[in-house]
Amino acid sequence: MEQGDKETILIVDDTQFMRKMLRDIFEKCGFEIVGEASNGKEAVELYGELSPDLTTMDISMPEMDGIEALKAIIKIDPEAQVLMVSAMGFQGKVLEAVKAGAKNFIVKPLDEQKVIDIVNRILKK
Amino acid sequence: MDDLKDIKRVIKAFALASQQVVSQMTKCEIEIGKAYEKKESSSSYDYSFIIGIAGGYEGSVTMSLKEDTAFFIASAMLGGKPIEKFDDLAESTIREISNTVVALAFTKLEDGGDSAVDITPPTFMKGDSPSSAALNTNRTFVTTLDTPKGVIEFNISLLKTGD
Repeated sequence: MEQGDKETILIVDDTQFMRKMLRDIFEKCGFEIVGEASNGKEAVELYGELSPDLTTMDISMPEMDGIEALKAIIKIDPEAQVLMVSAMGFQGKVLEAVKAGAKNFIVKPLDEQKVIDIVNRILKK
Repeated sequence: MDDLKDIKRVIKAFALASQQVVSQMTKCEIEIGKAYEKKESSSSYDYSFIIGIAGGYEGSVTMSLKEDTAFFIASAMLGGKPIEKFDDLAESTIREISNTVVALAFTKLEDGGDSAVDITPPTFMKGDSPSSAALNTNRTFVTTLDTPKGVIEFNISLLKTGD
């Protein structure tokens, strides 16, 4: 894949470890990580600046949680591709995220191959 | 939690969730250890992560471990990288485990018919889990994991509010 052809991803999670884990997975597959955010407020700001092809979003975060951030991002960009990546796999949360515009929902702990398959499906690679 | 059936269900959910998460994230053999009601603090841990719970259950869950155990877990999660101090990255690996265990345990309880809960991001503190009195809850139950490098203890201080 040539420089400039890479699809871009914004990673949002309050845990440094998760951001690193997701970065490692995505970079191995040829995606470009254009930004990282550790809370929902930062995520919305960065989304506005960077317009990534895909955003991964945790739910349980300080300052602004992932569902609120998702809603704010969808308001900026109704076509935004947001993948929820969260330990909170409660039925209600999943439904709430999908209703708010998330393209899919992955429950932690992560299965690396599942993450890749879902991201490729969202980005239709 | 005063109903014995509830207590057993909650302890089982946490025991299974903690084993599943820690095994999967460290790729190590992790055994479920003891479970009991905590009467007084008898052990001394180096690090604790406290998670607040609201909704169908209210209270908190605290994960505590010694430094050696934390280094072992962090190293395993970071692909065997040697860990010599509890820096931000090491702390975040343990933080992620605490959050994932608690969320998975309550997902198991929700699958069994309990109401969903809201979970706060983990708060890190050095030392042991706060006492029940400090948390203003009635009873604290403990479930533990045996790792190759020591015990991880989960202190569960909850009141059931929802059906």
